[in-house]
Parts: sequence; C-alpha cells; structure tokens
Amino acid sequence: MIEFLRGSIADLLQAYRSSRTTPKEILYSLFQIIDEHDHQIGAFLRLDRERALHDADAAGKDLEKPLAGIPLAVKDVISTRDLETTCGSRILRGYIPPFDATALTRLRNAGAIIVGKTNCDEFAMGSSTENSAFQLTRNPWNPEYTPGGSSGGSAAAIASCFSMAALGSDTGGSIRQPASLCGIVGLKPSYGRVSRYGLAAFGSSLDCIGPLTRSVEDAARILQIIAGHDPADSTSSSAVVPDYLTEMKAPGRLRVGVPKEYFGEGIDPQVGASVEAAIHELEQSGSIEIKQISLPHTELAIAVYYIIATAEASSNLSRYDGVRYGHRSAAAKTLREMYENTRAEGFGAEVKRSASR
Amino acid sequence: MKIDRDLVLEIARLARIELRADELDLFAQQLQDILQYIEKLNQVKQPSEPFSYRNVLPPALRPDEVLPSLPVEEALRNAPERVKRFFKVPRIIP
Repeated sequence: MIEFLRGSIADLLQAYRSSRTTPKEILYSLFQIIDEHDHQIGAFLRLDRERALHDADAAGKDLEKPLAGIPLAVKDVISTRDLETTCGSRILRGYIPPFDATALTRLRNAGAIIVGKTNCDEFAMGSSTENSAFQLTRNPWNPEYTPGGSSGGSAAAIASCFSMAALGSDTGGSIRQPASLCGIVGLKPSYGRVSRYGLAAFGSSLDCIGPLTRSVEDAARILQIIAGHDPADSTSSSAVVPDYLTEMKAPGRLRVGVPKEYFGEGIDPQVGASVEAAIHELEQSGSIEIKQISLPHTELAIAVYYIIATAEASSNLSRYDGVRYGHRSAAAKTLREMYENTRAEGFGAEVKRSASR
Repeated sequence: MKIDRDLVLEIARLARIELRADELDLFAQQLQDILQYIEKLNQVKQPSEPFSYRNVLPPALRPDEVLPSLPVEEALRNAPERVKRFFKVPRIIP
C-alpha cells in the first residue's frame, strides 16, 4: 500500500480503477502511517477518521470522479463543516464550523477524502509554524529544522506521505516557502483564481488558497477542481479555467525571468547554488528561454506587504470578540471587559501585534 | 515617529486587547523596529503614472434575490452564551 501513497494521484486513481486497491484500504494504511509517525512530526492538529472511512466507502462506489478516494489534508485556517477549525488559535478552540469552504466543497464533490486538519501559524501569521497555539511541527527531512510556514503542517504532511495532497493558504509566501523548505510542490494561484469563501481572512486583498503536492501534475489536478468563480466570493475571478493537465504537458515556448535582485544580499549560498542549478537545468531543456531581468522595487516588497497585510488583518481580527463563536473570557463583567479579556486570553503575541496596528 | 508605552496602550485600547505590562514594553520596541523598517518606503518617489494591475474584475453586482442563508440554529451552535434565538452578551447599558 505504501508504494501507492508515495506515488502520484494518477497512479492511485489507476490502482483503484483496476481494483488493485480500494479507497478504504488506502485510508486504513494512511491512518496507520500517521499514527506511527506523526508524533515525531506534528503535522496534524486533528484527524477525521470516522468520516474519512465512511467517505472512502462511498468513493469506492464511484471511481469515475476526478479525485475519487484521493486523501486530502486541510490547513486549519480553512473551514470544514462539522470538524473543529481553530486557525491554530486558542480563541477558536472548540469552534465547529457550520459550513465547508468552497474549495473544499468542490474537492469533496470530486471524490476527495478529508484526512484531517494541519497545523499552522496562528491565523496564518508566521513563517515557521512555531506561532501555532497548540504544537510545533517538525521538518520531516530533519526534525531539528522548521518545516516553514504558515502552511507548515500541510507541507510536512505531504513530505511525510501522510496525504496525497493538501490545501494551504498564502498571503505572503505561506504556501511557497514551506513547500520549498519541505522539498515538495506548492502553488500560490493568482489572486482570485480560487474562491476564498471559508478561508479565515488574514489580508483579504492578498489571501489565496492553493495546493501542496509531491508533483506538479498532482498540483494541476487539484487546481483544476478548486479554480473558478464562486458567487460566495465576489473577488473570485470569472476568467475561464484552462485545462491545466493539457497545458502542463504542452506549454509551448516559455520564457523564465530571473530577477537579479533575488540573488542579492542575504541569500544562503546553498540556496543560491540550487536555484542556479535549477535555472541551468531549465536552460538545458532547450524549449525554455532564460532571461535576466530587474525588478528594482524588490527591496521594498516586505515593507509594503507589512503595511497592507497588517492593516487588513487588524480589521479582519475584529470579529473574534467572544460574541458569536470561539472563546469568551469568563472573567468579564462588562461588554468592554469581555472584548478585552477575550482577546487577551485568546490571541498569541504575533496576532496581538497584528491587531494593534 | 516615536512609539512608547502610552501609544501602545492607546492602540491596544482601540483594538480592544488587554495587554500585560511586559507586553507593552516588548510591543513598543517591536512596533518601533517595524516602523523604522517600513520608513524605507519614504525614499520612493511617487510615480507619475499609477502602476497597472492585471486582474481588473468586473463590478461584483448580482440580482437582488433572496437566497437561502445559515439557519438560526446553525448560526447559534458555537455561541458562548445564548438566550432563545439570540446571542447573549454582558449588560451594555449600566
């Protein structure tokens, strides 16, 4: 079973369709592997065993769906109906969403099975998954190292073969950076390509849901399902969704820009060398043109990001006030105290900083 | 701009977050550092033309139709405290 769990989505679908294995068998092995190893990694905050096995039964009866019986891990900032969603924060401990995020609804309809919720920095604010209120996640390649973040649990789960694919979210690198640190594929789609409905808002004009997988093809298969306009998110794009698998196999002539500013001060020599090696490999392929370019505003990007992301975050965090869901301070006597104590007790340091700007 | 304890206290009051004394000092320092970092943006000259943005979306208008929404019981199921069909909060008018 383990060979299927290390392989591609296409191979697993093929194995189901030719009756070499079943979704239920795969889910059993998967939970066994997670039980055996996740105590060393800490990728998952919680598993959804019962429902996953139930869904696997159903998936086994309709193997024509594009992701029939494909295990999926979901970052804990994405709303899962009837499954606790904490955003890695004490303030949402015990919160059971009454709805699924649109991306998730689409994946479920395509036959995917939710394995569980993955650890992340609180409200996706961080780059190491150390800002989770609940646990540390370790890099599966070296437990002394961080998996990156904020989608560190999703990235570690994929690198550990705890799932075939995972959803993450990216506001300022939170899919791309942990994918890189865990040696897997992470895709931040263009803003608006994937509905944000059901994604806990951080910086609303930047937030994106995207896939983390072990291959580009697997990422294309997930994006194919989650991309497209959603009436529940007015910022989602109505641009036509291309056939990513076809485009991926015949991309035509590509030109890759290499911004010289990205190789400046502060780059780790090992990282620099492996990026150079990748550029060389692309060049050797013959069909890809490498072009040196300049993006002169690069050095300002983080400063701009900080202003936009935290300004939007402080507004978005105002909803965590102890009134309708999540933690409410037991100590408060007045409404004002209820807000102040609830937020003091519920938020971690990074989130308090973000809210106070 | 100088960020001191009093300013952090005022911002925290506006954000409705009770901060501990040690957090006030720590945040004052950290917010000062961040502010200093983003001051590098002051060196940028305003461009005469605004930057172009590729993904211009059409206006997000839709017909004003009544659609199903979250049932009251579902909306209330995470309520810290409720009375009948309402969220309960501490007394507002003294």
